Amino acid sequence: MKNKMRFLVIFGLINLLLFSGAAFAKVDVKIYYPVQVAGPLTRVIDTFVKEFNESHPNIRVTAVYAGNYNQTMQKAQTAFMSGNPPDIAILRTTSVLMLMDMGAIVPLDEFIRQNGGKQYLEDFYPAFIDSVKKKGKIWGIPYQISTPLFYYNKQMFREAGLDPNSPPENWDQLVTFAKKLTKKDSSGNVIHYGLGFPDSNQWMLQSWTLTNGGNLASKDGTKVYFDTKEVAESLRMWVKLVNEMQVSIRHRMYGKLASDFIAGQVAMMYNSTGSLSFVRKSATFDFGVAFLPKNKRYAVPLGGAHMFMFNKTSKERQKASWEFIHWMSSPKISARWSIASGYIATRKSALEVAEMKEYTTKFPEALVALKQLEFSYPWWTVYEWGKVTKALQTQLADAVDGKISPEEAMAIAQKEADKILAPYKNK
Amino acid sequence: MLRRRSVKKRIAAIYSHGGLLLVSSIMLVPLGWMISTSLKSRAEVFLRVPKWIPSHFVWTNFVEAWNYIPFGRYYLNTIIITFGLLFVQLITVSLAAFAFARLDFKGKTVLFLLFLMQMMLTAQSTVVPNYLTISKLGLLDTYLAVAAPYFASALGIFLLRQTFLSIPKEIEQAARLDGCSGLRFLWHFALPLSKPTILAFSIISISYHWNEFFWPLMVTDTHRARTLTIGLGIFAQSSEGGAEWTLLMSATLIVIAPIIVLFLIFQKRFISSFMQSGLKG
Amino acid sequence: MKARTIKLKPYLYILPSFFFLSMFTYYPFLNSFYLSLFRYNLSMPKKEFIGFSNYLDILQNPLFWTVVKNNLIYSVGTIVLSVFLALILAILVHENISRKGFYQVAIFYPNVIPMAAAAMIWVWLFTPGYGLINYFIRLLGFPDIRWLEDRQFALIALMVVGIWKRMGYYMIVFMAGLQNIPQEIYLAGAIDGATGLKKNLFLTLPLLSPTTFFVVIIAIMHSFQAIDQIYLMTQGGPANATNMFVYFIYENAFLFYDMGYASALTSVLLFSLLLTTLLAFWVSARKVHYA
Repeated sequence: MKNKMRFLVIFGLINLLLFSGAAFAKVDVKIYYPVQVAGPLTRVIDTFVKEFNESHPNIRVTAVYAGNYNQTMQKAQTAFMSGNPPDIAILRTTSVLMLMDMGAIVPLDEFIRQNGGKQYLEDFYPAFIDSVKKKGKIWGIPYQISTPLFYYNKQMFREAGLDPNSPPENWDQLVTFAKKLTKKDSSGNVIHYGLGFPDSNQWMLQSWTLTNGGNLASKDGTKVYFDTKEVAESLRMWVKLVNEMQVSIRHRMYGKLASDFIAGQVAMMYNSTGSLSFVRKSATFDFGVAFLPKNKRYAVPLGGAHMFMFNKTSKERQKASWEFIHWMSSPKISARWSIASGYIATRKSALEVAEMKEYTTKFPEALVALKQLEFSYPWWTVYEWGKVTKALQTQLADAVDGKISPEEAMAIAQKEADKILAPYKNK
Repeated sequence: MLRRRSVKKRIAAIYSHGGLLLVSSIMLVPLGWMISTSLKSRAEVFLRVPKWIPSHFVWTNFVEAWNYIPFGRYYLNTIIITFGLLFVQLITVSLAAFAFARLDFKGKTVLFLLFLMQMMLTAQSTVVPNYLTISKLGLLDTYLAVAAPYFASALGIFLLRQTFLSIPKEIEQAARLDGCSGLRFLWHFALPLSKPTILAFSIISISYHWNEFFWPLMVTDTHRARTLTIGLGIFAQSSEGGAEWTLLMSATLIVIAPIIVLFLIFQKRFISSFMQSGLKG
Repeated sequence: MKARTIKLKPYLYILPSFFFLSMFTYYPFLNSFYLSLFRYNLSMPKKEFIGFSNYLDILQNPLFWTVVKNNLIYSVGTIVLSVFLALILAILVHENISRKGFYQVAIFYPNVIPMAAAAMIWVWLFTPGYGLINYFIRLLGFPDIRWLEDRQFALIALMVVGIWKRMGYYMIVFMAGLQNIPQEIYLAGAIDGATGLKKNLFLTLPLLSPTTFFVVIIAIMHSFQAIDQIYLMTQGGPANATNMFVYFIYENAFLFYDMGYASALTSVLLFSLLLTTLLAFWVSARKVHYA
């Protein structure tokens, strides 16, 4: 009898525990994120997650650092395909079409409507929202935005007899300045270059093409415009600067190029706003930043990542995910992330946040980047962006190395892209 | 005539020592430069005329590098994976080697050749199908995912089989008379007699898996199962904002220090282990 | 009764190894061939049977042939040079007992560190302008070499790293082989006048040939599976100048998500390696016969 009593008590207690556990059940939200700028930023994200969890006791967010953009995309896709998707993933903006095509993400219009609607949307720079507005719906919320920025070494400007407060404003000036700033030794070997930019990179090509009045692809992502005059002229400039005049350093990518700039290897560079913190921290000389030199107009493509909400999870989890997305995109968090990472704050009202005001007063360079946003365009994207990009970038390298003419290169790239995009013509 | 010969010999010795010294120095340059860079301040790294000894030693580089990514966790993962894997390997390898060396059964030669085939392949060439397998089993991002493809080791079977074959039949017969055969014999006699081979194989396995990069990279997502080399790779990739050479070299030193130290202490063992693995022809 | 249990035991002993080998070595052979017959893109939930279409695409893809060419150049270049240098070094070290330990350590240590670490160090060494290697190049009177950015030098840069990494291993394998050559052969040879260079050419080399042969075969196979340094140093660039087999597979599988095509490439690689193995065994069997 005694044993039976004991058993009932224990059984009762266990049930009590289980049910009380259920009452306090938290909704689990898992978010994948990439960190492209520096390792310590994972700790910043951890802080954000902690703060959110503490202020939202019925939601538990777990942040999974998944590698770089490619790796995070790969993990997210595989997870979705194997029936175990994350709730949110922060992915390169250009991933939107592929994610839509897979049915992996859900449109956010309904959530937006319930949480600020038009007012909320208009607080983002329009190009940020346009980047993920497809088929009339909004598929992501901006998280980290970067644009190309023009950096120049004021000290080297002075040494070359140039006005350190007048960076080149257009392509002609760019060429002249680059020539003046390139120093060669007696045997003609370059000691330092006047210019540097990632010369086989799609983002760079879009930058130059935009400032030349053109663009790389259609908004719906089914057509590319490689074989156009605006692109060819941009590429022709590249060939001239890198291969013919040899005033621009060849084939150096963003991170290494920033180091080259610090080392005094290049006097001017096209790089990302993401390098601003690094340059400011490491430069032993006076430097300035400016808009990208224009040919027909000032323009910049956006870069960076959006937050995407995944499909095939429960309604409950989606609701909780939206809370997190909304919180992460608030002006205050947006400002803090921008200050910590060097990415541009996605909300216009982030500029009013006290920390941000302090920051932009101390570092006016950040304001230049923000001003440039007036002229921003969405990052070009197409279906099978990875494959198309590879085809494009191979041709860019060939052209810059003088193996074929710019026009030939772009014709080939166009043809290959058309082939890859053929099955998507009717999307 | 004797004197001429010894002079000739001495000249030859000077030339060979000279050559060896030259080659050795060249081989050591990357290691030295890495250490030198890891102790420099950022500015000193960009000099066009390299400076070997930093003007002041920046020890904080190591602290900064250590904090960049969860190295502590990566160390733990690497140790667990490497030694856990070795443990399983020793079991599968001993059993199979024993069968091939001491037992007779149908299809022995064919099976052995089939096993040998694995020595020709690395996990890299089978990355696509193996990734899909691991993914379907829901094992992505676990220790098991990193280790499983290596649980069977053809190299281990080959080496241990050689050693088992060299155990005199008399010992086995004597043991059998005492009632000790099969697994008991393996455990009490064969393995203890093969200690050098087991050590050699262990060294090879440990250094291979401590250093592995690509396969673990493909099957891990988070710090849960990531290894040191992946940490290093992440470090390199996350310098998109600007390459931090001093920190990168510090991180590299952090990752390779244990294995270099072990190598220096156990030089002879290391070298003889790898010698053994090469003497298969 | 007892007879039957004895017959089962050996198979049980082999079972664990066989199980894992099957799952991760033999099954992939079959699975990759099976998947190669489909259009299987990760973004599309359904697989579409297309027969040998992927293989036709591969054969007609100029990039595939570039990849094969690059890998051949890399393999042959790295192996021939490392084996050649390793042989000379092994003979030199073998004949100089003093300080042998130091030389062994200095030449072998790169083999002990991860390729990932070596990649990091060499990217830094190869940096134009303020990297160490270019400093020496400038001392010799030449302009900076854009090691990883120039399509003519990128593959050479990777080969330098490959040689630096593996040469020590070949050296000690040769040393083991040298140690196994009985002294009597040299004494007998010395009587016939075979000393110095002659000795090495006519005695040492032929006696080392089984070792050499095996070492070279394994080296070739492994060099076709090189990936770490490509992934970390050049990502196949510039413009596919360093794109090699496994990296090409990785690109197609994990960057373009085209699993069908990547599986076809995997099948091609695996079957080629299998063929080479069989060829190697056949040749070595013949050699043994003549030895």
